[in-house]
Amino acid sequence: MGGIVLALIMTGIPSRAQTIINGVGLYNAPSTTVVSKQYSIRIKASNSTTWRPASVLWSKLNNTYMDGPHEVNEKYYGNLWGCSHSYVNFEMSQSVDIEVTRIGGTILPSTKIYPENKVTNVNFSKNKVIFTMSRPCNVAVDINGEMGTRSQSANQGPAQPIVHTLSVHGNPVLENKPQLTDASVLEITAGTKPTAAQLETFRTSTTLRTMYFKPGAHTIGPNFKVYPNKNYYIPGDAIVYGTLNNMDSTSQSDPPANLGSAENMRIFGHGTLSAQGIPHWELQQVELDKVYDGSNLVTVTQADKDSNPTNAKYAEQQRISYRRTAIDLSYCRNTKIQGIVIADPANHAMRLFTQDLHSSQPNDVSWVMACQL
Amino acid sequence: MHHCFYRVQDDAYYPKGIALSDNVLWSDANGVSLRLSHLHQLKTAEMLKQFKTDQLRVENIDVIFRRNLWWSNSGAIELPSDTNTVRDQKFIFSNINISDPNPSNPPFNIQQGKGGVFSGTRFENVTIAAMPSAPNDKNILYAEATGTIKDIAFHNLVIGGEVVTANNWTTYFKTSKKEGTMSAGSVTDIRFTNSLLPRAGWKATGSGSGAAGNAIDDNNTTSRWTTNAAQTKTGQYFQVDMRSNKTFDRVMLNTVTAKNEYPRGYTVLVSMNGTLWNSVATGSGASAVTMITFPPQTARYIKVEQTGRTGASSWSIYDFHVFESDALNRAGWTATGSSSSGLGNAMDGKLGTCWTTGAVQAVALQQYFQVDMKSLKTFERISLDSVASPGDFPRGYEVFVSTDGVSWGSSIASGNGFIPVTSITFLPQTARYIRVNQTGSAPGNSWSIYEFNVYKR
Repeated sequence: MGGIVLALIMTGIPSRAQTIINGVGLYNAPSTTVVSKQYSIRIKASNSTTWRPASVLWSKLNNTYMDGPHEVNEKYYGNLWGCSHSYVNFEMSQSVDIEVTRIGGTILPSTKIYPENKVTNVNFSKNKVIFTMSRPCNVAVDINGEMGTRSQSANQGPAQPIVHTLSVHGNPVLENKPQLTDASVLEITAGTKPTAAQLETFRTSTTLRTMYFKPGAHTIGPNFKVYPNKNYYIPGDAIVYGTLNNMDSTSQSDPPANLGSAENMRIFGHGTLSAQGIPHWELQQVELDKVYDGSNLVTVTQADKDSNPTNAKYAEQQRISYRRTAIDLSYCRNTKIQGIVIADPANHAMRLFTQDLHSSQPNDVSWVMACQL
Repeated sequence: MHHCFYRVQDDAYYPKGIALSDNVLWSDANGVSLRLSHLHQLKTAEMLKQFKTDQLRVENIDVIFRRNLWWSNSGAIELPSDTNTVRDQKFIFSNINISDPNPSNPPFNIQQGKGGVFSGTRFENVTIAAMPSAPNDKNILYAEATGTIKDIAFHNLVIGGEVVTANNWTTYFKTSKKEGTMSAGSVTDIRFTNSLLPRAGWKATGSGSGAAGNAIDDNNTTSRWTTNAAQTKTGQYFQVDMRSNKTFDRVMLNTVTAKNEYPRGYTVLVSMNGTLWNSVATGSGASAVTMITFPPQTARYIKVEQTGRTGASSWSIYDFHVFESDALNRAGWTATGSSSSGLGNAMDGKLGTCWTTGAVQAVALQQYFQVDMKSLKTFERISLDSVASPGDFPRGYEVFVSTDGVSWGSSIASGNGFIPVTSITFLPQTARYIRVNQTGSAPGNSWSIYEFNVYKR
């Protein structure tokens, strides 16, 4: 068994900076195209009467085609065809109330919230569900119990009811956020991709420490290289399309001499790293795979595997599979991935390898939301 | 890896590393929630030495949805049938809650391949809301020829509201792949224990006219206590008097027979005298088995107040259980430390108050926290909770024990904190004093302990 996924689409739009008001930190959406069409959410401090709209984003199957009324994508298991997942990622330093509205639909008291011991004061009113999150936590809101009552039957096709699921992620407030005015920050403007020269300057600089993806949508593509002793900040109003790794299948050294380890690296913020647009692991085995061989998209079929005694094409696909993992890091020590959303990874969401399991400088993966749908 | 949320189509999580805690897992189609194939394998004596004190702990995992479309063997917790593997590091899986209300494949699918050994693993406080999807679809403990499964402990395993015991475990487990086909290898020393407090002599009361005693008798399928009123009415409660102080850390409300009559919201309060109450947990029910956990409490009375609102059903309890905590009763204990700031707060049962160094973590500051338990106790674990200030866990620690507070000897454990709750396990000790030295550095964090607990196991 492996992993799988889903996706999104974006264009950069301007966005204001995030502010924390009454202990609640909300962000604008990085792009109108990722705003959920299923749910809207308002959040307020429990001791306040002022509601503020939160940006609800969504992750939805991409590269689909229609089979009658059903939206089909063979890179996802059949019971997910047509489904979507909406989410909100925010910061909180005190108890908050959350109000969920289903756009154009109804929320019934059969709605449940999982895990069941995380929230309180669940109430239903006028097609909304309202609940209290007294401390940071991650929950799924099972609207009308649709997920909880979904069939377990071995169904590969689109016969299962389509569900549009929702999760809510209240994070602790991120302290000491990078500032664009910091001399250590390399800012990346939405809609632009760092040039090779910029990246090399960033890699070698002793001053530049943090790559800051400014609000909006960024397309860095698959196989974006990251370096030790560097920070990568994705604020909540940014979405980055691509994958991050420090792998090089052609390197003769470990870690690759031109890349280095992942030591003292931090990938953080409350924004989204998405693999939409990147070839996904093929589930239905029509093709074994599609993968970039550097710059070209290569299709690997079962026939390639069966007819080629050396399996060269297939083996190469395996060798560079790290390009599809959202974050794939080797030689980790004091490596931190914190707060971000990983949407629609093309295979695994994260892999962190270390040669020093008992280091006094542990790796830390925390408050990460990963959704393969 | 902690406080993460993973929704996946396939396998969710390959446990490896040192500490995994407070994660929410959701598998949509074909996945295993905790796939154990990546557990550390002992290959050398050096590795054995390395793992002697650093155990993999997987704690506070919520599996909220677990769907299996065609992979008939995928379980929530699965050891695939790898051959020639030896896994014996005393792994601990604790507080695993599989709350998906929809039955699925058996949650435990542990298969050891030829020539290998899986042993020394504890599954503690595992709650599975739904029964397997078919009566004969039992959990699997299977060893192929020349393979061995041994020394596996299940403590407080609850399936569908039933506590699995040494007497009934074959109702829920099989040592074969198929019914009637026994393991060709060895499956031995599988232990099922629990810490249910005996209810004889207890008195139950509740709002409404329902017979509260029905919730604490041994009939958990037909007799119940019920509000006889929809959960729209205020003032609904259920209370037990345990007749003497007990130390406990979880209660279970079972309403499997009437699956919809769980409490939509709850507050749990405890009291020593039935007059002064302390709120210890709040939440919202979502399934027929409501397992409510909280920091260890010592009290005589427990009250559950229903705080949700639904007109769809009344609130009923067919079976109410209280689980004794493995934590030692801290009454009368005293603490000292390198800082005098809030010494008693670390043992007051309140997660909002703490002892703190008040200074950043630094070796040169010789920071320590010491407890006098007032008499000799036998224990094998301590926990340091800093969830309310999640960055204030100790970056390094050494633990010492003493019978007289003067002679300390060598440290019984040392290591590094990784997550907000630092759980330190060691060989069983009998002592009166425990001292924890902070040995790491954290320029941005002080060292704080909101709750310090000592455990029998």
